[in-house]
Amino acid sequence: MNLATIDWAALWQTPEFIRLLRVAATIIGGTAVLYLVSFAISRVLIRRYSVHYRILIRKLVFYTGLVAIVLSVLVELGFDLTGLLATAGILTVAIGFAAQTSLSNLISGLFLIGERPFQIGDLVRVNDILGVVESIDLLSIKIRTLDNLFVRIPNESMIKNPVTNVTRYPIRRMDLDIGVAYKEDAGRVLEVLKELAEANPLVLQHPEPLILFNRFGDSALEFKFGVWFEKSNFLALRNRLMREIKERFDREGIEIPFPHITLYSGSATDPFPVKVEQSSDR
Amino acid sequence: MRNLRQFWTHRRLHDDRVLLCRLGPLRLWLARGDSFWRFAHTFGESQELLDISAVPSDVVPDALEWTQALFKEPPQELLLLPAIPDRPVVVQTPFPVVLPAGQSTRFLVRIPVSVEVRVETGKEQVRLGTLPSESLSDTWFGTPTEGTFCYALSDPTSPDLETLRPGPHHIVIPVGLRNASSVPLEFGRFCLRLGHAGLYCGDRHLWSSPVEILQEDPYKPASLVYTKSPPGEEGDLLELVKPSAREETTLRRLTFGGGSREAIFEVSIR
Repeated sequence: MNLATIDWAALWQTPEFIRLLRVAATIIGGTAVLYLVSFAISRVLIRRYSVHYRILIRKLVFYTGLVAIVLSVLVELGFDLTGLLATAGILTVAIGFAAQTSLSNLISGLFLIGERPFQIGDLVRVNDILGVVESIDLLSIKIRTLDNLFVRIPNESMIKNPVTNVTRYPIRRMDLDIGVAYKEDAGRVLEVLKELAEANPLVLQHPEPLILFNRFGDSALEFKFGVWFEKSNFLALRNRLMREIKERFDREGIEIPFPHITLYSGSATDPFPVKVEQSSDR
Repeated sequence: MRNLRQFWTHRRLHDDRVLLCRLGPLRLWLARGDSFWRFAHTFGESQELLDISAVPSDVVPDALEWTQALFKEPPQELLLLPAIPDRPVVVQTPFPVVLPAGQSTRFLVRIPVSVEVRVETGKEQVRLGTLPSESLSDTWFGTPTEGTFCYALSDPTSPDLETLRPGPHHIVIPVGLRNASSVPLEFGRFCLRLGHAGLYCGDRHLWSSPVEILQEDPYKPASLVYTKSPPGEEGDLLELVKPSAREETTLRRLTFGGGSREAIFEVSIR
């Protein structure tokens, strides 16, 4: 086709061309307005709602607007929406069968949004996955693990499995299991642990630490040492407290035993023969 | 140093000089270069030191962790200002206290001051940082699910200065407590939120504006009122930080703990 032979003046005035122009204007103008409106909404909501709700409302407005634009374009192009809506019911059933998992995730997502067991930025544990919640969407939540992996967890799994929100409350308790040799004075161990908790500035003085003579273990007297701390101090406190326990026990001469096994042969047989040999250089 | 006022004043520091400020256990190192100001701090054992001196750079410990601020032309004027700790403080009384209904009492509390480091460019002051004069333990005031993150102070209260024995790095706070309710007030610790208190310097002690705590309803939090006037315990006080005296309506939260009221509170949330 030779472009020079086209009568541009006449073409611009044809109804088809004007319709195309209206479609282009609807798509470009509508999308721009949609972005502006959803941005303005998120700015307005910034003080009143959490990040989670802001993102959700913004997405809701955006996708509703997008559907409206698509429908307007279809009407502009001459499609009969009455027929489209009539077939929508049948399509819904068909899609429902085909997308059972997605629908289950969608409904689970609505429950999660209503229940709010966690928010964006919370540290959560789901099964064996521990990470920070990056986004909560209708079908899944996205988590960034502590070693910087991206994990997508379907909402259905979040509803079915226990979810631990590690950072929900402002303070936490760190429980350490400590074993000392049977020869040690249990009362002195309790005193030393109390002094260690009092001396460490990251340990909260209140609620008071849990210091418990827990049980007579296989190889050690077992103590539970639970100290409360502000949730952001976990790593600093753990490193510092473990080191302080070891150093203090060493200074006090309190033995932290490795597992011992004593074999007893019973009275029906003779004892195991044991031969002690001295090394040649002594 | 003869008195406290000399510590909290302006001073000049020339290029490539290091200043060591000793305030109680705090050792604050300040250095000025041709394009920077830097500071670092450590804690010592002594509680009574109060001096500032220029030191040769070879006595500065190698292990210091410096914080550095960059300037095109670093100002020469330095100003140290006292500041309230950045969190509320929880005061643990040596034994449980009972204040009968209708009674009031006054006592003094000492808390370690924080030191705000500023440099002065002539027109304006630039804050370089704020440092605690003593390492304080963390504590929590409230329930395990809701409360305030605070610093813990054990046994820092006394009815008079002689037994309180404040060091040069302590702020002395006169606290008035009135139980206007119909039942005795029992507590083992209380929380002081001092964000709006003014700070004053005397010859021997740093003071905060007095705090009045009023308990009217035994089942509601007490109210804290910061008075506008300086404390009357020492004369000729120099105002270093202005008070914003008003009743802390936003802070009408739990103020007392460790008595029967806290026990009731804790049981009720389980």
